[in-house]
Formats: sequence, C-alpha cells, structure tokens
Amino acid sequence: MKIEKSIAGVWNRWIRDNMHLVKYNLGDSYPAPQLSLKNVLDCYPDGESLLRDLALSPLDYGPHTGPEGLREEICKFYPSAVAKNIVLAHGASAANDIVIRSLYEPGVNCVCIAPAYQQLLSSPKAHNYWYREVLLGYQNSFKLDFKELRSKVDKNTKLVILGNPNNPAGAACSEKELKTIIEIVESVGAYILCDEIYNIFEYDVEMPTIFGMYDKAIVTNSLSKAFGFPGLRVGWIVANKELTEEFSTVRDISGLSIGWLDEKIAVLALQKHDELSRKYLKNIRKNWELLDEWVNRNPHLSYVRPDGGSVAIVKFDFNMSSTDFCQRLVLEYGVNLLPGISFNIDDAFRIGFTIETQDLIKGCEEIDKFCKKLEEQA
Amino acid sequence: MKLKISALIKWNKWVEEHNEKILYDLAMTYLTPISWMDILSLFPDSDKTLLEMAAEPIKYGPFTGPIGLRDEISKFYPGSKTSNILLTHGAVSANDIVLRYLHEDGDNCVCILPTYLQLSTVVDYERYEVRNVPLNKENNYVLDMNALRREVDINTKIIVLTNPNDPLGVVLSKNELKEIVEIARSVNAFILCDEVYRFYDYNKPIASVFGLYEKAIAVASFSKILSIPGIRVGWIITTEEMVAEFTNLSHFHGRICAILDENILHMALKKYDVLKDKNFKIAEDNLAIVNDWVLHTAGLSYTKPTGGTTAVISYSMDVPSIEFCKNMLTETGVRLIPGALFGLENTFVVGFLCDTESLTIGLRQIAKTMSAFKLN
Repeated sequence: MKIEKSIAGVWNRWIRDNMHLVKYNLGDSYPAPQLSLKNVLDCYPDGESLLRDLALSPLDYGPHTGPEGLREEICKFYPSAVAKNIVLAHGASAANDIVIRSLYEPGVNCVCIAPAYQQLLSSPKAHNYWYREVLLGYQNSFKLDFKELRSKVDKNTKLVILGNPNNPAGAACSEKELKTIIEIVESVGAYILCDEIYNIFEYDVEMPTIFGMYDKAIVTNSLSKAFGFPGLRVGWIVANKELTEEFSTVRDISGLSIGWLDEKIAVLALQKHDELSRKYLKNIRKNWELLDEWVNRNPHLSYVRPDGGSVAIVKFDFNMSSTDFCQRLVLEYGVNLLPGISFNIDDAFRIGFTIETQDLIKGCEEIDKFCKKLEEQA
Repeated sequence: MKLKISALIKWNKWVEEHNEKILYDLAMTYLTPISWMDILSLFPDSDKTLLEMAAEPIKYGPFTGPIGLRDEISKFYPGSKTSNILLTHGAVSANDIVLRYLHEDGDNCVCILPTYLQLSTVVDYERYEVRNVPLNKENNYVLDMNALRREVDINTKIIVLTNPNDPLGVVLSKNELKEIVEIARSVNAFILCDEVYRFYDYNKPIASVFGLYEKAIAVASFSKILSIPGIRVGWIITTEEMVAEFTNLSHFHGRICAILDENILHMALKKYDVLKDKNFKIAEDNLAIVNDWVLHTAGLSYTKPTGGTTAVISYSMDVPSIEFCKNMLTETGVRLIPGALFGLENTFVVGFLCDTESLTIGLRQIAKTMSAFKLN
C-alpha cells in the first residue's frame, strides 16, 4: 500500500514539539474544553452509583454490535434509521477506512470533493481507486460546481466522497443541493460517502443528514467533534442493512469491537446530549459571529464565512508560506493555527473557533499584532 | 471487495443461535475479565483515584500513546525503546495494519498453519498470493524448516506466524526463530509474529521475534494475560523506521487509542505481577487437568501445549469436527471449537481458561458423550 506523505503530519510533528509555547490553541476542530466522564455523570441524579457500576463491570469485549442502547441513541440523529443501519467503529477515521476499503474493486474510480479531511482524499488513492477530484476554492466560494461533478462521474465511479459541512471551509450543502448531488451520483449508480462529523454545528444553513435520501448514501460520524469526546474513540457508519452487514465483517478483521467502557460512556453521554451540548453550543454561535467581525476588521484577512462546522479557512495577503506564517505565530505570539498547506491552500490558515470565547478573542488579538508587525516590515 | 463468508463466520453464527445451550464454555482464551475497580483496589485510595480519573477530560492523548505506557510495554522486550512501539486498537488492528501496509501487487505471503483466523482472513482479503506451510501431527507439530525454505522466494513479502501457535500451543524456540529469520533474510522478507499468548509460557520464557532481525515485527496485547479484552490497546513492536511507516496507515485506521483505556492499562501494568500470577496459576492447573484427561481417555491424543491457552485434541472417531462440536454443544452444553476451522480435521480445540470446575465437568461430559457416539 502506498500512502502519500501527509503534509499535516509534518506540521503535527512540529507542533507536538512546540505545543508548550501555545497559549491560545486555535488549531483544533473540536470544542474546548473537552468533557470528562464526571461531566456526563453530573447530568444524572445517581451519577456516583453509575460510576461505581462502570468501575465494577468486567472489562470484557462488548457485544458484537455494541452495548444495548448505543445504536438506538445514535439513531435519534437519523430520522429514518434503525439500529441495524449503524455499525460502530473506532472513531470516524476507522469508519471512513472501512467504507473505502470495503467498496473497492479493481478498475473503479472515486470522485472526491476537495479540499477535505486529508484521509478522505488519500485513502482512496492508497486503496487503488482511480482518483478524480472536484476542487472547491475561494474562486467559487467553496460551493460545489454541479456541472463539474457531472463531468467527473461515469459508469466506473464507485464512490463519491464529500464532507458536509466541508473541512476546512465550513461550506454546507443544503437539502436541495444534496438532492442535486444525489441525482448526479444516482445517474451512474455510485455510492456517496458523506462525512458529517461537523454536522451538528449549524449556523445559517440547515444541513440535513444525507442518510435516508438515497439508498446508496453512507454517513460517517463520531463523538469526537461536535459531541465533545475525542478521547472516547467511538465512531459509526450509517448505511443500508446490506452494506452494514458487509462493513461489520470488515470491521471484525480490522479492529473488532470498540472499547467496552468507552461504549458505555457513549450511551450515557448521548442520553444527555442536549444538556451536555448546551454547555458549549451557545458559545459557539457567539464565537462564529466574533470570528466574522474580526476577519472583516483585519485588512489583511479575508474568508468565506462558514455555514457550519467548527473551522474556517482564512486567507492572508502577506507574501509568505502558510507554514512560515503559522510557525512564527506559535514562536512569537503563542497562537496555534493549522497551515492552509494542509489543504493545498498555501496563503491561508485554518482557524478552529469552538473554544472558550475569551481564548478566541485573545488569540485573534495576537494574530492582529502579528499582522501589524508584518505590515511594518513590508 | 466482498469478504468471503468463512467457515468461522458460519460457525460463530451457529453458536450465537445456540447460545442458551452453553453450560460449560471450553472455548475461552481468557479468564473472566477483571474490572476497573479490581485494578484500582490494588492501590491505596482507590475511591479517590476513581473520582480523579473520572474528572479527567476525555481528550486525544498523545498520538503515539502516553510515553509512560510505552515505557512499561518496552520492559517486556529487552533491547527495545519507547520509539519501537506503536500502540494500536488491539492486536487485531496491529495485524491488520502490518499486512495491509506492506502489501503490493505480486507479493506472496507465507503462512505457518494453523494460525489465528484473522491473520489468514486478512491475507486473503488483501490479495496476497498465499503459500501455506502446515505444522503436521505426524511431526508433533514441529516446523519443518525445509518446507518453509521451499515456499519462500524473491516475491515473498512476509512470513506470518503465531508464537505460541494459535491454537496448537506449541512454541518455537529462540533457535527456531533464528532459523526462520535466516530463511526470511535470504529473500529479504518481513516476519510478522503474533505473540498475543507469549506470556502464557509453561516451560520457559518464550522469546519474542523482536530484535532478532531488522524486518521482524511482533504484535501483542495484554488482553489475554491480564484478562482485560475490553481494554482495546495492543501494539506493534519493530524498528523505529517501520514504526514511522506504520504510523502513516494507523492515521486512517482509527488513529490513537481511547485515553481511558490507556490510563487503566497503565495502572494495571504497575501491578502486572499480581494480576498475571493469578491467571497464570489457573492456566497452569487447568492445563494439567486437560493433560490428565487426554492421557486417560480412550481415543484421544494430542501434543501437550507449552504455551498459550488452547489445546488441539485429536479423536479417533470418523466424525467431522463441526458435527462433533455441534453435537457436544446441543447434547451436553459443552462449547468447543471445531478443528476444521483451522484446517485440522478430526480434532477439537479446547480453550482451557475457564473456571476449574466447569473445565472438569465439561471434560467429563465430552468423554461420556464420546462413548455414546461409539455405541451408535
């Protein structure tokens, strides 16, 4: 298997060694602070005895299909789904991997809507699909050009991959747009893999799940991002029952069940999702507005306002690479961002705004100072 | 690619449908799992520690796993460093990463059989040309090095084995491993050795393939020896260069492990001896019971395991093993594993890591039913 070198990987290694310099972390895509088991248990009147039960249960393999209730809880986010439509996986990345690996056959092609989460673009290549890309960018406000998509699919297209909302731009596909995509994909009988991991963060555009709109639509998601538990490693696939049967056999040879304790915690967390998410979702909308004001105020920055999700890709007008820009910000100002080169956009950075509002404000102020300094030097 | 519905999947389905019939489960490869509290209670202030652990944010841990945890693991491999270890989502995931990552078109893979069924399934699914080197009963399941030498060639990407053998429980000595290394070296092939049962060693410590060869890759976990299969943490241990390579794939293979699993495992390893000794003693005693039973039951024979938690027992009756095991379960409530799943017809596999009483009664039931078979 040949896996292309991950640009994000180079940055990840660098930032790992320099993380101690970071005061304001705007580089991640999940909400901060992350929740603890205690936060979950505090939503229950008998939290302490629940903890005791967890601690006293044997650390066994869980049931093959996950503990009772977990798939039912997940179904609540997909109006037309039943438990049999869900396969649990070790995070959304394992979920994506199982789908892409299972659907491969020699000779088929895969059409990816880019930029996207790196795995969604590199995994089809590593799995030997013929690779085709439909590129979103500032020139089209990160909106999908349906004509281009139509021209890229053909009878050998097995899979079309997209994120809704898109990572890193936060551009969303509305129900109407999803229907147009489906109509194009259906014309060649292909599957759609839609990564909906940021789907819960909605602002102006409603982003319905694609599951249930098309028999060959496959959705992946996890508790890592919008649900606030990246360290649980609980992800899932939603698909039709024939597919989920196939996916679960492939899951069995690639990782077996997920952590039993983690699954139990996932059930408890999802049952109290409304209460838990209230803790951070209310701030996130405010942050989204603050971000918009800030980008519009800073003369060196521009962007397409995200419709959804937890990140935005912000363009800068200085003549330097995104890696230089972001490294200097860490070293001189203690602010962590993700260089746009990770998405092949080298005059931009990705900013994660689902953090504590105070941190976002202070981080942005530091970026302003840096821009001033660059302006003076120019 | 459609995964072939294997005999194993069919068998598991059948067992699932007859689940309520199981009275004596002699198919277990680990003891009744311990709990988080069992581990905590080996430390002072266990209640306080539980609350502290519960209050920690469930965030991503370090990509390669917490350094302290890999340090603890590296103690089991003389000459290893933290950087030789990549934590994975259980040993299953580790095997899958290695076999997928190394595969290129035209490669062949040489498997020493019998083997862990996941390994043979992945090798097949990844479209390796598969070449088998069976361990034979006539030869007491000793690996025939000449047979191995005959199967490898310049297109051999990897030699796959389990040590102790799963399910035979026979052990390859360090000298034998070195011979395998020489054969692999002659064609520049990798070696993948699944060592999940290595810590169940009944004669003497079992050598790891790690460190014997720059292309040797060992895979393991503590699921079996510490009875914590629900803690999904396993590892690959190999050269630093190969760890870096495998990390590329592990990135889209679920990436890091769950932080709570890692933290609980880390605690357990600090009390490794206490936790291990208890399980090991039961395994040793149970193996003695199995041994005694085989020697004193007409029509049975086997090669006594020197490692692992299973034994493969040959029977003299002319009944296919799937039928044999189905009968045993429906008639007597004893769950066994048919040898046919491993290509060992006219044998059944006993997993002897159950409570001693179930084992004793279960074995008695098998003997009784066998004499009834004969009367028919």
